[in-house]
Amino acid sequence: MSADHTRDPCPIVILNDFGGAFAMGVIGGCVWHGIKGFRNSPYGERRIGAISAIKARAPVVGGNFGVWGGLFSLFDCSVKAVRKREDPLNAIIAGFFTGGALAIRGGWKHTRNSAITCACILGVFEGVGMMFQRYMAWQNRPVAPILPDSGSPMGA
Amino acid sequence: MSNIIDIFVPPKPRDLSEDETADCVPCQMMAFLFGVGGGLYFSSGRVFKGEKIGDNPMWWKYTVRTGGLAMIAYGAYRGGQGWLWDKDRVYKRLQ
Repeated sequence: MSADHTRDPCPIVILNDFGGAFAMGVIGGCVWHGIKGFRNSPYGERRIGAISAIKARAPVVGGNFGVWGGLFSLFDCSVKAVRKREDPLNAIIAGFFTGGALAIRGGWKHTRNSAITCACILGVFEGVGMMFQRYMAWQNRPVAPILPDSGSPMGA
Repeated sequence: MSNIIDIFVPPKPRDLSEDETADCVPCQMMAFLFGVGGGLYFSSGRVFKGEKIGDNPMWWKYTVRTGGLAMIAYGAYRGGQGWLWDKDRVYKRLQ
């Protein structure tokens, strides 16, 4: 099997994922906290309220997303290097470690529960993705053309 | 494509080739930074800064600190590979 050249190699993809997740979080945080700041501000100060909320909270959301994405990608690359195999189990194991690592401050039980929850969520995502891919493959399966019935008489 | 997008569009399961899983200098630098940086953070005790007394049992704090020390050791090992020890290590070039 030839190497996959459509993606960055492993240490580079970690930075790529960190930046992508950070950008995604900042954009989402702008929308979320913009609406929230707008709604929670008094009339006449809604625009400045929305901008203040975005400036205060959107970088935090971006940072949280970025840390998650970077850690996940790092663990995913590590698991791939150890297992020497690419399959959905990599993401589940990486999710387990990511969830656990991010919850260490909360104590042993929090770490355990967070790791298991994160692994389960990623397992569901992987399962849904695979189901969707199989469904698309089934829909686009090659179908034999319908041949005209040559045996039937054409009249006399 | 990235590892995060691979969650939603899983690749077909396959065994990775030796070339794909070979070590590289950026991999080593990343492992060194992650090991030493994370290890210093975990072993310094800053993880539990500001917690309420009794929130975390002592055995858990010691476990995290020990894990941090292990991470520092791992980072130091990876950082020295190729030029301090394990000198005949072969690296792949990233393209």
